[in-house]
Order: sequence, then structure tokens, then C-alpha cells
Amino acid sequence: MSFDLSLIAVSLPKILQGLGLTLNLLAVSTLFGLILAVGILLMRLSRRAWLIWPAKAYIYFFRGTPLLVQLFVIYHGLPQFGFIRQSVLWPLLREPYWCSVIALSLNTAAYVSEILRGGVLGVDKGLIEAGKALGLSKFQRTSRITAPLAVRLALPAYSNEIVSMLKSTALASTVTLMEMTGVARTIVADTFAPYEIFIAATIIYLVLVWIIQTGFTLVETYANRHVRKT
Amino acid sequence: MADIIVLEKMNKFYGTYHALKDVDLTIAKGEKVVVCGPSGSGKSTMIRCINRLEEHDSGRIVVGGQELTDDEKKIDLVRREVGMVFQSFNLFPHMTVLENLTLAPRLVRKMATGEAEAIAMKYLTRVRIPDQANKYPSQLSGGQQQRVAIARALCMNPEVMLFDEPTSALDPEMISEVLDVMTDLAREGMTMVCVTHEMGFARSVADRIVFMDQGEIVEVSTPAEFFAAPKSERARTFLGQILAH
Amino acid sequence: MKFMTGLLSAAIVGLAVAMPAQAETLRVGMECTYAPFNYRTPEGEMAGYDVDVAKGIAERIGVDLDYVCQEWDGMIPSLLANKFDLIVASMSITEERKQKIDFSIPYRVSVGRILGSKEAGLKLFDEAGKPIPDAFNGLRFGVERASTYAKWVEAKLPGAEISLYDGAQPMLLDLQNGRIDIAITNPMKAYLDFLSKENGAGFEFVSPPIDEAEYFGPGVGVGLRKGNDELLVKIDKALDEMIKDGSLEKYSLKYFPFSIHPSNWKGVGQ
Ligand SMILES: Nc1ncnc2c1ncn2[C@@H]1O[C@H](COP(=O)(O)OP(=O)(O)O)[C@@H](O)[C@H]1O
Ligand SMILES: [Mg+2]
Repeated sequence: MSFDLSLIAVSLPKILQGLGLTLNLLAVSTLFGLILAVGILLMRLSRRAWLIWPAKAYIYFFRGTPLLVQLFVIYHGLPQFGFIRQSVLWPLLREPYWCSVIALSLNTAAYVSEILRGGVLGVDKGLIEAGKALGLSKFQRTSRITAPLAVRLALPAYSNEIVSMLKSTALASTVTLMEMTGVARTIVADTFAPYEIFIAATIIYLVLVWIIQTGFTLVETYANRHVRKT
Repeated sequence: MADIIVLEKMNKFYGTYHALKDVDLTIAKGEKVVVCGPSGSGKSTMIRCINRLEEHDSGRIVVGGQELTDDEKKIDLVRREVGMVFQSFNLFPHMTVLENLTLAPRLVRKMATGEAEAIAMKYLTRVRIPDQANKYPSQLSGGQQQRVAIARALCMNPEVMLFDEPTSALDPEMISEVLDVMTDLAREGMTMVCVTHEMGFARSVADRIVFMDQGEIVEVSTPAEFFAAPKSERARTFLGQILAH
Repeated sequence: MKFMTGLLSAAIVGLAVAMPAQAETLRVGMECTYAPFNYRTPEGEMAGYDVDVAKGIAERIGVDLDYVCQEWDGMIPSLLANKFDLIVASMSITEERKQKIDFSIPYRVSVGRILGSKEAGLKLFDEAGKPIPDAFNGLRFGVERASTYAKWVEAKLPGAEISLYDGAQPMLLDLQNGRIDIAITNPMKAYLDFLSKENGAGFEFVSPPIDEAEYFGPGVGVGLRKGNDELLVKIDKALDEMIKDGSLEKYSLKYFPFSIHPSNWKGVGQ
């Protein structure tokens, strides 16, 4: 097995052609996932069983099954039903891009809602009582005290989830999308040089992860400027 | 003098545990009441019922003429007239001292930021830490944090101040700086209900002392009576333990 | 000792003399599980296009056949180890394989064909069988990743809107679901797995067989050990006859509704 360093150098710019789509999938799914996660979180934290139960089932389902299976169910499974192909959703579900965004968003929403719930549960109840005692309304307590503190507590776990999402975007290559892994797999199929090509892809992913982690460290440092350093 | 707080045959259960038993207590405007009693006797539960941090199960609670029921609007009205200071300070850690003080006046009283800050600075000066306005709570000592908490409550210009063991979490050398602020407040005529074991403070400031045990108000006396000759055996035992320290 | 040697020599001479009296036997390696090319019928008979071709060759050069079932991975090593004499197992002729073994002329073509829906009424090729690039505009084109078909599409239809798949099966599923409008693949596979099934009922070939050897290779041939030039010439001659007399066409149509043999070949090593 000869190892061709120059092949890594040659394939890097080719793989980078998929960077835009990788980041696009990451950003769009993260955004949709976050919005959905907040909705599920509110259901989960409500006191009504008919809201809590579906939220729990959702979280259980999406955390309990592989993302790849979820993607395949959406991509390959749904079109098996004629009515799906007749429905107004078909122009969306027809597109591998939207299937990937939907699967990634639904999946991350389950994790993020639990991460945020951990943050909410971590907020000192005494602070909520202080807010009540000052006459703040429930909405004001949530928006000024619970939410900002919960977000600060959730940031480290949330940054892990973003990194995990970045890696998950590679699954979109299984439904024909040419994001970085899709490009890499195509080059591999052409060159029969999996080591060099996937090492090139690995380098790019590691750089992205480094950027994400550094970014979150900066955000965390800023958000926790009130915490005394001992 | 008008009664600002009225508790009538008030009962409170935690599950099956009977935490407050037929509590009757009336507090007049301007009065200073110290509540004492052994740990677990229901002192916190009682004053937390006054601003509905706990819900009572039967009897009546009337604060400033408003009876406390499930009506959220009335609860909010009562809460903005009742200030509370907690044992563990409960300052908002992500806000500066000034932000802690201006939050409720801006959101609840709809005060302009400038006005709220002016008032905040006034009270910070009263509690003797105007120079800490832009620090975060974690950068202050315990005594300073508790004084900020008092100033935060005062910024809402409340009719009544509730204190739940405000000095119990403090290092001994910081207790007096907080008690001094509370004494000043009492002199200015604030209505105060204060759970504390600081008997020196009780003696010099309280109009009445309420002694509780096992969820009941056992005895209500003036400080002079209470310290000289407690009416109940339970109070005598309690005082013996407290003063032995 | 001398006596023994003499006896042995006599025996060998005797054998050698006896041999030509009966027909020579050629051992043929194939998978025996690759329907409809080489497989066993439920009755245990060998059948399939490869088997028909092997029988045709044997008949024309006057030998008997023995079938040796061999897994695909070990096919060439087994030939080289003399476990059999010929590979007739749908093996494509490639430069890499030609370095180890010899191949006959192709007896089956490697072609691609494009599939599309019957309803769409697509006309993508002109009368001369050349693709009309404009006709592909706006059509989503399913192609297997890094396949010979992908190379052809890239070269001939650079503007096509391509979706790359890891195999024919998911690609045909997406064709059926309407995610892609057309797909190019091996017509035999497409016929067996798709067009002949209920799923493929609404679809048809929308192109002629595309058989440019430049992209698809010369096709499938009979493999044999190097240095058997005499046998190779006989096999090529037999195959040539079978192409010309319509035997291969007949075998094709037994399994497919279209022919899979080369209609005109230009000689060995083309
Ligand atoms: N949230 C609660 N759930 C159950 N029991 C409680 C709760 N809060 C207080 N209690 C019980 O009620 C009794 C009175 O508590 P508390 O009012 O805090 O006493 P004190 O302030 O006099 O020490 C104690 O026995 C305590 O264990
Ligand atoms: Mg207590």
C-alpha cells in the first residue's frame, strides 16, 4: 500500500467544493432544530400531560433511533405512499436537500430540547423566587432569568451538539448530496485511494470542529464574565 | 393604625404534613415583627405564604387589603408591594448590581432606565455600597451581596419588607453590616416581618416577637416580656438554647 | 528399479496413445449462482447465457465440458492454479485482467441504456443514435457514482443535472419515486430488477444501447491461461461463427427481450 501525500493536496480543494453545502446543511438544520427544540421544551416543561406525553415520545423516538435510519425513512420510506407524492409537501420531500434538512432538524431538536431542559433544571430555584417576590410576571421571569441562565448552563453541551451535527451532515451523502463527504466518496470511487482522500476530508472536518469549538469557547467566556475566576 | 397583613386561621400542608396550624397574626403598618422558633417550626413557610411563594390550604391571608387567592393579577399586585430578602441572597448572577436593582422597577413599574438607575443609586448609597454598582454579585462579599438584595427590594418602594434569616448564611464579621442596614430601615418606619435568631436585633428593633413551634404560633410578646419572662415552656427552652451560644 | 521405470514408461506411452481415441474434456469455471448467466435450474441442470455459450464453443471445437463452480474472488487464481481451463463467467475484459490471463473476443457487450417514464415521451437521441444535449435540459439524471456510465455522461452531456448513487437499486427507487427523471445503467440488470417487475411497469428504455467501447470496455469474454494460443484461436473462431449464424442472438433472446451479444466484432484485442 503506497501512500500518496500529493493526492491529499490535490483532493483538498476538490473536497472543499462541498464545504458550502456542508455548512448550509449545518446552519439551516441547526436553526430549524433550535426553533423546534424550544417548542418541544415548552411542551415538556408544561404541566399538562397531553403536551408532555407527545414531547417525551418525540424525544424518545428521535434519540432512540439512528439518524441514518431516520433519513432513510424520510427519503426512501415516505415516497412509498402515493398520497405523499400527491401532497403539497412533495416538492420539498422530493429534494434530497430538504429530506436531509428535515432529518437533521428533527433529530437535533430532540437532543437540543433535552440539553436546554438540563439548563432550565439547573437554574437555582431561589432566583425564580426572587423574581416572583419582585413582582415579575411569568414571562418576564422566563425571559430575564430562566432563559439566559439556562442558555449559559447549556452552552457546553450545545457546542458538542453542533460538532455532532457537523459530522452528521456527512450522512446527506447517502442521499446523493455532494457535500464534503459526498465529494470525497466520489473521488474515492474514481481513484481507489480511500486513505488519502478521506484523510483530506478528515483534515477539513477537524479544522471546522476547531473553529466551532473556539467560537463557543469565546461565547462561553463572554457569557460567563459574571462568574468569579478562582 | 391600618392592618397591612392579616392571617386568619391559616393552614398549610406539604402533602400530609401539617406545616402551619391555624395561624392567626395581624401586623399593622409600620410595625416591626420578629419571628423566631426552632428549625422546622414553620417560620419560612409562614412568611413565604404572605407573598404567595407558598400557597396556603385554608384560612385567609389579606395583604394591603388584597386577599390572596388563585387570582394571578392580585398576586402580582401584592408582590410588588411586598419586598423580600432571602437567606441565600438570590441575586441574579448574570446581571450587574445596578441591573439587579433596576430590573423590577423597569419591567414592573415601567420606569425609564435613567429614573430606575437614579433610584438604584439612592438605595445603594443607603446600604453603603454605591461604588459596587457595576460589579457582578460574584465579585462581592456575602455581606455586600445581602445589602444589594435589600436595596433591590427597596427599589420597588414596597409597603412591607419580609426577611427570612437574612444573616444566617453570613460569616460572623459581616452580620453587623447587614443588621445595621436593617436597623436604619426600621428607624425610617418600614413595616418589617423578620425571621431571625439575632436576639440583639430583636430586642432593639422589634415591636413584637412571634414565637413559633411545630407549625403553631405559641406566643406573641413584646421583646421586654419575651426575654424577661417567656410565657411558654417551649419558648423558655428555645431561648435557653439560643442565648447559650 | 530399471524394471519399474520401464513399466511406468510403458504405461505413460499407453495412456498417451489411448487419449485421442476419446474427446478431450475442457473444465469451465463459473459461479453457478449468477442467473440468468450461469446458474443451476431447480432440477440441477446448468443453464444460462454463459452456459449456452460454453456449450456452443464445445460443440464447435469438439470437446466435452466439465463445470467447476467457483466463487468470484478466486476465479482468476483458480484458473492459474489449473483447477479449470476456461472462465466463462460473465467476466469483463479489462486491461488489468489481461495482464494475468488471455481473453477471447467478446461474446457479450457492455452497454448502458437510459431509462425513463413511458408517459414523458422522451426523445433524447437522434436517428443516428447520438444524444441530443438540449433534450436533456431540465431532466434530473441518475448515475452510479464513478461508474463507466458516469464517465460517459460527463463526457457527452456536460450540462446534465446529475444525481450520484451508490448503486442501481436506490437509483431505480428514486426513478420510480420521481426524484429523478432518467437513469443510466446496465440494461440487463435494469430489465431483470426493474422493468420486468411491477415497480418498473411505467418505465422503458429511452435510449438505444450505448456501447462505446472507449467508455464501457469491449465486453465479456472467455478467459484462459496465457500460452494457449492454439485453443484461443479455436474459441475465437467458434464465437465468430456463433455471432454470424445467429446462435448468440438466439441465446440472448432466451433471457432478455433484446440482444446482448456483439453484432459485429472487429477482431481480438479491439
Ligand atoms: N417544599 C416542602 N415540601 C415538604 N415539606 C416542606 C417543604 N418546605 C418545608 N417543609 C417542611 O415544613 C416544615 C416547616 O419548614 P420551614 O417553614 O422551612 O421551617 P423553618 O423556616 O421554621 O425552619 C419543616 O418540617 C419542613 O421540613
Ligand atoms: Mg426557614
